[in-house]
Amino acid sequence: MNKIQMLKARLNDEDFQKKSMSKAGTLAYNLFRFVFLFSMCFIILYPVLYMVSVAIRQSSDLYDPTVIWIPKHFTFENFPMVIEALDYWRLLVNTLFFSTVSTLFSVISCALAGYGFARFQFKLKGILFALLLFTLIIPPQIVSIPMYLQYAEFDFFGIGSLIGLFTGETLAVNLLNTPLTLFVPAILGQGLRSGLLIYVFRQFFRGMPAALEDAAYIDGCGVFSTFARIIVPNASGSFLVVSLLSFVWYYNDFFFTSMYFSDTPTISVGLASLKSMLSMLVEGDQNADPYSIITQMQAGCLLAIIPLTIVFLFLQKKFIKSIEHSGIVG
Amino acid sequence: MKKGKLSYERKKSLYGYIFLAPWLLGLFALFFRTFITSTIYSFSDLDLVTGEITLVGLEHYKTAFNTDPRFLPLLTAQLQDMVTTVPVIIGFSLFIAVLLNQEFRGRALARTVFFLPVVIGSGIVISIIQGDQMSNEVINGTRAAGLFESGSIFDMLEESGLNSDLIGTMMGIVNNIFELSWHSGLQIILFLAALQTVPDQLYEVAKVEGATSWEIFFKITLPMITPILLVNVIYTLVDTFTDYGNSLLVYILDLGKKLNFEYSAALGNVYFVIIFAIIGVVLLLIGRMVTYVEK
Repeated sequence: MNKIQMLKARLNDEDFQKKSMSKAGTLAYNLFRFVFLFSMCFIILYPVLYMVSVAIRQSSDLYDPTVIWIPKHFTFENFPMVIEALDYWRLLVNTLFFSTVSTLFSVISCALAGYGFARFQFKLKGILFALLLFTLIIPPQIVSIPMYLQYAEFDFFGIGSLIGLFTGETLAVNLLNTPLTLFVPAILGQGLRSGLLIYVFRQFFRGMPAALEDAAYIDGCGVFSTFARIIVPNASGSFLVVSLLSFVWYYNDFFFTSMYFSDTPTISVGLASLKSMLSMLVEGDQNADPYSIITQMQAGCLLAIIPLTIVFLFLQKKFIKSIEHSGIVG
Repeated sequence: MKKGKLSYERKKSLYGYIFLAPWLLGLFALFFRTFITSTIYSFSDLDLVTGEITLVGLEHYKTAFNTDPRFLPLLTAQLQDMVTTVPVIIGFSLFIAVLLNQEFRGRALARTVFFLPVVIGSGIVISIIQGDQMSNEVINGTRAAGLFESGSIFDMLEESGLNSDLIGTMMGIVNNIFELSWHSGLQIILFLAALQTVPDQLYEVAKVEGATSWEIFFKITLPMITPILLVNVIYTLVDTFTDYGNSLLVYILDLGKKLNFEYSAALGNVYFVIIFAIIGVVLLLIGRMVTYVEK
């Protein structure tokens, strides 16, 4: 029996396992974990349960003080009403389109920048990294007016204005009301919370063993193909996390879409104006209960978060540890 | 030989700029243009009708420190709040991430639940539910099953004759747990992703060498995830500073809504310089402890 086999045998040895944790201890620990996680889940789910509970009741149950969680009059009427009032399917397609494309651009530009910061040495690195942190702490609300003006007269990063100096006429286009207002910053690594995404990428890349790339370089792989063929597949976990976060932020974004678009482009913006839309409907109908807006608003909230929750439910499996993840053996 | 090495180094640094190119273009063409415009506002008076800008120098900055009765108290309160909030959020989310990384039944569900705050909290949904709960209470004329309070159970405890001080402390903790779990979603996800990157061999070796679970956690897991720990600390700092619920930021943004852009921009700049300095100190202190798997 060689040494490795002996070690493996020792790992599987029951005595060894017992020594590391007694049975009673394991049981107590499992119980503690269950109780703790269960109660935390309850705390987090509280608002969601409330949403569900209100969304599936008739508005008359709102007056009834004996109804707290379980409605007496179940109904699903709220959902078709809200779907119609919101123009839900059109908005959903729109939102998914905006957030998918923006996320894709954002992840690519942020991964490139993160890799640049993680693996290369250059003179201005320190200053540029400080600037990266600086972009992170400026909330977009503070610079919203210059930002709006920038896209109302988009001069191709100053090139248009430069041409204007010679020809007397500034070359500028209005990007407002087009998805380009979201895509252009995403392509250039200035999308929603891009600073954070770049930082996350940098940390993950730095945590990867340099031997990975060295092996590829020795085998004659160029810098870019090393990045695409070695780094990206090995950092799939970080790509998953960053894409997921970016997608959620774009999906939920209210600030930018409501600023750049004059109509209702996404679910978040629709949800914000849903209340006034519903009250208009109620005022037109004399038989309608004004408080039905409350139940319908909750139905709207549910409809807004369901797609995201489904996406996450599927993706979370990928977080599960895979043995080949670490990439290098020995 | 020496010449060849030099050109290799230079090549590497050139590649660094190439990888950063899209971001650099965005930084200067998009971010700095808007930021500089807003900074110019902070040094001037804007005439909104004619669009004229007259420079007034440091006047708005002087107002912030000398005459504004609200800015400095809000700022100090915010800084005090940060000292307790950030470590608690980091510790809490690390703890949850370690639990969620273990094998147990219903893990998929639990992970989804802990991600919900990111899904809901970053959107408009949470503000609607909060506002709605209030209107609901008005209709019922009672305090319905409190959404954001844990009052009723503590009333019960008080009825049963427990010390009211003790109940008060417990209530504080429990109410904070709600806030805590709603501000830790992203940190939990990042920690969870970081935990996946710790190679299995390290754990196997540690077990063979007879390390206890505590030793494994503090000597293997924790050092291996320090890169992400650092991001999480920075993010939590930024998040507490730029959160919509942050009273100072609300104050600054309200000034902007009242069309007092110049003063709003000036306060914003003061605020960000301070945050920036704090982050610099944190990076210096924690950055030393971060372990990267590099040669």
